[in-house]
Amino acid sequence: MAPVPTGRFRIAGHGVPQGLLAGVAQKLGLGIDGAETDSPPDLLLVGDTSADELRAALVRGIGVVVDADDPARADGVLPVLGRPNLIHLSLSTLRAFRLELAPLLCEALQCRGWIAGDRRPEVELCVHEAVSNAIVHGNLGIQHGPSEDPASFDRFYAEVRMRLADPVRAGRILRLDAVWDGAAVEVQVDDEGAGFQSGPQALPSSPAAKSGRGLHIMRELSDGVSFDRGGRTVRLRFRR
Amino acid sequence: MDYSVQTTDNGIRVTLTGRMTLVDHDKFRAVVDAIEKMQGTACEFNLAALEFVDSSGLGMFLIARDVAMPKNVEIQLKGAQESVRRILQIAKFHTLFTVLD
Repeated sequence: MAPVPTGRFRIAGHGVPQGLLAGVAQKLGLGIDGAETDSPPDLLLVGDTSADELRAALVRGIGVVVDADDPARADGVLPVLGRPNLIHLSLSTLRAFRLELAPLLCEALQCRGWIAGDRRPEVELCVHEAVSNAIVHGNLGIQHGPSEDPASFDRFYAEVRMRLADPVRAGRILRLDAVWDGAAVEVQVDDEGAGFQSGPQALPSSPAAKSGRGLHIMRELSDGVSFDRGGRTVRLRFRR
Repeated sequence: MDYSVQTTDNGIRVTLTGRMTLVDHDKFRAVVDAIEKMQGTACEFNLAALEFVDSSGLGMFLIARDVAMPKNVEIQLKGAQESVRRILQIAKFHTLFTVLD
């Protein structure tokens, strides 16, 4: 394996204590981003950041974002630092839920020219459905969506809120990667849940079914959907 | 998502704006309450300013339909932008609702 180049890469933080940022930088052999250059840092450590701040960072060209609540994960991103054709986000379930990642990622994809403007709504919807599934059914472990009983909708959202308050489930990591190959972008969503069996049938039982449309939407609007790791990884392909 | 409810000659008009997703369940519960209490025969959803709806949002429209049907209230989905109209088509909502330009 090729040695990991360090030193020339820089790290910055949003909503992160300086001591934590300095510790991660030292551990990984990265420089701390300063005012001496206009180029974006290579790695962003995010704590209590806003969607607007994260959007601005991604649009600026930052390609790798790691949650400050789990800085040990930063070790794993060293090999991908500095790759111009990759965006990688590794965030806790709670932060991913609050920040609503799909529109942020899609703005970054469009800014980089990886998706055309007229494809953005369908890319955003597919990524949103994949991320929602990874959060709700993957990391939060809620197996089924609302049933036909109208009251089940209230119970479902109460369950989502309750599990987001559980630090173990809410702390599970959601990874979102986008790779551009010159003709298409492949978006991959990984969760740490129990997985699921994906069959060829992705249609809900009837148009009036209250849930179960996510996979159908992804298959209709993307240029390819595949699953891996027992359903804990979904890959979506979009031609530009 | 934001919403407003207005009384019309034959029912109510619900105007939805912004993004309608999983997190809007509580707000949409208030819309469903308005349908439960309404007089008349038509509930028009003005979707012209709705920018995004996901599968959870589609489920919320179906909850509204469950409440409206026993009251003989027709639900109209009106004026959706192209991206929202596309998802309504994929979900075959024209078989369940009156979808208007």
